[in-house]
Amino acid sequence: MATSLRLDRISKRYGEDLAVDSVSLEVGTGKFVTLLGPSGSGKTTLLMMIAGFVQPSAGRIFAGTQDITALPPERREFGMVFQGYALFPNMTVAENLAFPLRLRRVAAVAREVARMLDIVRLPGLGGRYPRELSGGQQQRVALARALIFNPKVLLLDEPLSALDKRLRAGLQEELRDLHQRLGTTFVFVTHDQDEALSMSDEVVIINHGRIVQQGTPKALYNCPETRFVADFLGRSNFIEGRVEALSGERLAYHAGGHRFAQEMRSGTAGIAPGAGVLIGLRPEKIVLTAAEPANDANRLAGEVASVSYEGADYHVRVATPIGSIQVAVPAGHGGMEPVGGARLWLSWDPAASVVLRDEG
Amino acid sequence: MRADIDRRTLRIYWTLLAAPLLLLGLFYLYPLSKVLWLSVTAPSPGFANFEKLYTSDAIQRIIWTTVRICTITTVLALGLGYLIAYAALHVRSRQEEILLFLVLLGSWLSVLIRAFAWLTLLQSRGVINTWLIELGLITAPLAMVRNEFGVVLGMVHYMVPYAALPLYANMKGIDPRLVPAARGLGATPTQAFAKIYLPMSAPGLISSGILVFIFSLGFYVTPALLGGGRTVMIAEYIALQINDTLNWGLGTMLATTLLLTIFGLLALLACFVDLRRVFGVK
Repeated sequence: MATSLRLDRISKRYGEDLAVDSVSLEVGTGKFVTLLGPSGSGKTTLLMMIAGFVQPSAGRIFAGTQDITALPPERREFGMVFQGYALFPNMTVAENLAFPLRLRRVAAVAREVARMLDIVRLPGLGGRYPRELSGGQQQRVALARALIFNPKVLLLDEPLSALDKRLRAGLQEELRDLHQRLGTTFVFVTHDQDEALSMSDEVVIINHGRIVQQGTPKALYNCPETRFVADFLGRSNFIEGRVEALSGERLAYHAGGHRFAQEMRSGTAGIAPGAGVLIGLRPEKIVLTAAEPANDANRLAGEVASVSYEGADYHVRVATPIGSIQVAVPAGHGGMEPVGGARLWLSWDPAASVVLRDEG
Repeated sequence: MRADIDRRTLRIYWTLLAAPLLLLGLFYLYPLSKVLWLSVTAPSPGFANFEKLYTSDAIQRIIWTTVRICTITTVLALGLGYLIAYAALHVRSRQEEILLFLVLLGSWLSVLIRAFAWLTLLQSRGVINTWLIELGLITAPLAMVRNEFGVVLGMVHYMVPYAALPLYANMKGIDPRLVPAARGLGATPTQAFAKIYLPMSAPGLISSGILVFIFSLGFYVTPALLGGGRTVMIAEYIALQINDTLNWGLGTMLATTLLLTIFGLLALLACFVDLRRVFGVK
């Protein structure tokens, strides 16, 4: 039976280092939550504490209403998929899958194993040894082994990082699909932002052992709160300006001798006339035109410095009075094809950019 | 062009090899063949010497003693070696270095020095007995040497590095995530060890075990000194036949039997592991 998870001010200290710093987090029953962060951010340590392999230095962990902080891993009933899979090399695929069932003295082991192999689309491979399987197949065996005993929560530690890009995309979809069919709570750790965005119900961004921001993939991508999040999730331009005027939800600032307007989220603190302000602007939210736009959007003239073709779109760098700005232009829609040295106009809506805090 | 170079290189190799091969043939293979030959010719041609393996009580007793001591030594050395190897892999890297250094340190001392050191410690007026008597724990000295106990102790001490290092190499190849994986699937630490780690380290245990057993069979100095003539193993008995009783036929027969047994065990070992790897050629 799937369960919810709750971390209450969890910390982990290694000597002087604080690997995880007072993290509180709730994972709803049946949710797919991703812990995303650069390497060394503490996300894996956090997962290992949820799994029970690492004891937190402070704080409590709850599964549903039960406090499991002191419970050893084998009594938590969580499935875990390790980086590198950790399949038992001296056992066949079927024996690997049967391992958790035999420990629980489940009857009808063979039937369960066959059913699970069907679910992960590896029917008939039960007799093979792990070394005889491809990376993608090993990955599915690891997944099947972690799910076969109906764990309360499935923990995944960068399970796709060893696979090539195409295989990874396929398995991402399968994993997503499996999650929806089984309804198990998934906690997924990755450093790959695309993976996090495409798979999760909720993404938790971790840096320096702390939660930086959490939310749905869409909310995180469109409304990052800090420079770190905007930079880590996708690409972003940063404009450092100075506040000129403030009226209600609208902010006027100037940068590089130009004046721009900005829609503000309510409750953005520390904004006052004369103060510095950091604006994040996604490359795909900028419109390039040959003539000066007629509407009242923010506008800026510039010269194309470089163009790189990336299949789905062009990635253009434009030299402007406020510095180099990157712009993504969709390719293949009959729109303008940017060429180096061309002089053109950049424009964006005041609601398209976001005010950021300049911190990790 | 290339074949020329190869032929020249080959000639250099053979020239370089000639001297050691000659030495080996003259001073090792030739005497060895004489030993084998003597075993079926002295004092009269035939297999009379080998019949004694079945008929002589004294020889059977020696063989039984040898096998028993070697088995006990192997089991104890493997047990200790396993603990050391396991510990070395599960402590911090600095402690691992120190542990392995200590294991190697022992093996750098001459076997003779170690046997005398044990004698100093264990004999009836030795360090340990003197202490125990002074502390009033015992009144008469314990017999810890000139018996099987002393021999086994000395041999285990010598053999532990030979058990620990191959086991360490074997265990290093075991994915450290397997035990956590087993525990995540519901195994207690004991179950995870018994069902995953132990089977994974079994090839190492078997190859180290056979290796230690083979080494133990030929032990001479340690049993001779710590056994004090009372616990006699086959190597000492052979020396006795050759040097003292001048029963060369019997001595060479036992040497031949020992040699063939070791070849047999090596053949058995080859079933489990690549011998070239065990002896560090590969």
